[in-house]
Amino acid sequence: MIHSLKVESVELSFGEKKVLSDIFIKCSTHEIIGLLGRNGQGKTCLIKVILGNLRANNSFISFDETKVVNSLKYPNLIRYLPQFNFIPANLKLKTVFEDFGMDYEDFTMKFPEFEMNQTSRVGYLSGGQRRILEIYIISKSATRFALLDEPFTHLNPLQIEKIKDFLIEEKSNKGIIITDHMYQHILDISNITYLLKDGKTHLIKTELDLDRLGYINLAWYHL
Amino acid sequence: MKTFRIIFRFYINVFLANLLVTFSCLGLLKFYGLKSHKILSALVWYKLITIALILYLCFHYKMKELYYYQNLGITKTALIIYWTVFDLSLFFLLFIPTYCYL
Repeated sequence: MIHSLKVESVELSFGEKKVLSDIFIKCSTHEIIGLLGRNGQGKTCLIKVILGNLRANNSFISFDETKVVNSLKYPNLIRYLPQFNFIPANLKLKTVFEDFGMDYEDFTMKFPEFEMNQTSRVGYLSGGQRRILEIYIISKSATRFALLDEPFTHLNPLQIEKIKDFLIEEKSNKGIIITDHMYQHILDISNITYLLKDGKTHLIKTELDLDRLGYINLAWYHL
Repeated sequence: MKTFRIIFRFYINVFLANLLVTFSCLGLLKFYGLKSHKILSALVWYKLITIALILYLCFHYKMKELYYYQNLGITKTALIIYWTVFDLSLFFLLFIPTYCYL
């Protein structure tokens, strides 16, 4: 079954400063939506508004055309990977998998480097391993949508490629919204990409659009 | 049941601090003996204020981990309510008999 998440009419301001004003994002099952934007353009704020952790002046967040105010209350609808490590370091890996109702075997089949780690504590994993674990937990668990905030941080190029393949595979079960500064990876795997600039979402087709909107400077790359 | 287990795991982080506060209240009750009725309300307020303070500090230092619980459908409000109810129940469970048998 195809599900949809719509984010519309988001208006957010802090005092006089308008952060978000004209936002439209639609994500459906089988889709990866990329969200790019310079630092301070409101990407994380927008994510928090979608989750209901930040109250906007105005917003309309709907799942399958039904308005949902505090979506993170419903983990079967949406789960969120923050840009920092969020799994408590003192937990054992097997406890984490039990909490999320997931199978550790499936995980090790995909990422064999974790085979011996089932009884290890999360805090003993390397930065990259910890990030892989978190991405896997959020993206693979039973939810309709996964929101990934800077998932590629701490990952080496090989791990990034593996995660990209995993996300492409996983979109067959859910919709994924992903934001990161590694725009080439985002463009590679996204069905639709938006750039957040001046509080508005701009549809991106190619790198040229990113250059035109001042997110990258292609001239530097071709020097 | 699973939700309770997860909430309890969060609570265990501060269980010792809360237990020490409870024991300090019981110690003061014993210390004041028959005159302890004069400090009853002060002890209850002391307990309530320390609960709030420990909660604040815990949420401040474990802010990032709150997303773990939120991703499992356990909101911050739920954590506060369960934590407070459990801690106050334990407090009164120990406090009332201690006061009655002074």
